[in-house]
Amino acid sequence: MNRLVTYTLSLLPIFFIFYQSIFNDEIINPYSYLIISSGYIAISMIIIILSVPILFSIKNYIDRRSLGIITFLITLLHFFLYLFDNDLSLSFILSDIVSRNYIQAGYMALILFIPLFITSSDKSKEKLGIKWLSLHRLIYLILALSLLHYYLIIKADYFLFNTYMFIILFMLLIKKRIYKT
Amino acid sequence: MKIFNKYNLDKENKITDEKHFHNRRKIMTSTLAFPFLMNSNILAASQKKLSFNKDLDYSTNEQTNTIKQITSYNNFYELGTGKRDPMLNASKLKSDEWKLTIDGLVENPFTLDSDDLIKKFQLEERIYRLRCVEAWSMVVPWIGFELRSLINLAKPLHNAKYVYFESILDKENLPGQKRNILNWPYKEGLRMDEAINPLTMIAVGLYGKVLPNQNGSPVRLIVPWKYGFKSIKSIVRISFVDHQPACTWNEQAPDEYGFYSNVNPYVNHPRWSQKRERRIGEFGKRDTLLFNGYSKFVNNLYTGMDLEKNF
Repeated sequence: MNRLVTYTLSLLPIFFIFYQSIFNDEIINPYSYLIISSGYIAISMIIIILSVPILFSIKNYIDRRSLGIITFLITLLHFFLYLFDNDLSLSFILSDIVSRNYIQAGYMALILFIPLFITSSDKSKEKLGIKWLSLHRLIYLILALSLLHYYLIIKADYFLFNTYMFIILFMLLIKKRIYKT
Repeated sequence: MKIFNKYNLDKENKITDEKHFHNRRKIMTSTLAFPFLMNSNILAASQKKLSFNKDLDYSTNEQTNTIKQITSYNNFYELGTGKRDPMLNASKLKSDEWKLTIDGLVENPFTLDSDDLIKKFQLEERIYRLRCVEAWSMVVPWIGFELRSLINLAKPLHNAKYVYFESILDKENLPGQKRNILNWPYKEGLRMDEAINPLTMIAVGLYGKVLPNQNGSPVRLIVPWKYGFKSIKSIVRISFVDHQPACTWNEQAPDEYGFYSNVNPYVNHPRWSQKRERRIGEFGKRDTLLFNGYSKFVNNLYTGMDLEKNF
């Protein structure tokens, strides 16, 4: 039940942006809209995943692992949109990796996300035991790299980035208080 | 499926035969072609029609972007940093009662008011490509006059080597200027020979009517062979100076936005490629052309210059 609720809720933003980019003629540059908004959604969802344990009212309805799986798929979508945006040109993609910091940060976040996705089943969790927990703490690093990826492409307006940082800081403070008491 | 209609590339890229082309032009110039303007509040403030000639020497034959695309996908940070913000906040730019000051190293400094801007000069329509530094482009039918006709009136002194442009500063009303996103007011500059190039235009209108606020009402610069941010909007001052003037994006990130900022597929922005661009309305990307395809008009301005150093 939790899983069903989680899957449905977490897929809504993706359906929303695809619907918008296809049917809303106010979206003038739909492809760029899709790339940018899928990135925002992925970062926001990682923040939500990390916030669920301290959001008591929704805690019981959300399955974090399902949320993580969807977030990985959205990250992958974001990546494929980027590849198609550059006509799947291998030479371009390679030169982009070599020469651009924000692209490197993005790749690192995506690569680190893969083992988390692979070990998301109950079976793996049982098998890995205590190791599973430390492996999945990588999500903090993935969040940091994602934020770096975003930070490095900002041209002038840091408002949204600062908002993300503010929310994360706020959540960390609450978490600290909860676990103290 | 609707998605395929929307992005039907074949249809858009097919060359229109001449008869249909002229026909289309005719239809486009009549207001009948824009019934959606009537129920749209985007352009409510700018219904004033202009009278103008059609330029044939510099205009492109390419399919123009729609008024909706041109007026709802803008970079005009004074009105907000989102692409739709300038349209949504358009009313916050107080563009009536305008005063444009022309001063500096000139024999004849003067000011132009809103009325002068559309009456003092013979207006013409020019259809130019616009290439944004963010790797998207549009084709826009501007109405205006050549900057050199304004320069001729001012009679620059022999030591005037550059032209400096400054946008409106209105921290009280302009939402983007309430935060220090950029070092306000927005500033731009051209070398004198770039400024008197016949391509360089002062625009006061779009699609036959006065400029909508989000496009830089009431008066803006158009330099079609340079990235869009050089084409400064809502100008209040044009000064003739003897040194290379400070430019806003150059101040913001000197290694990313040079003084020249000529469209050049061979010189990448440090953070993204400039080789290709997405024409708004098209799905795939097309190759970016040197000087945005205006080489034959501007090549001679840069002979002997290293365009990689002088980016």
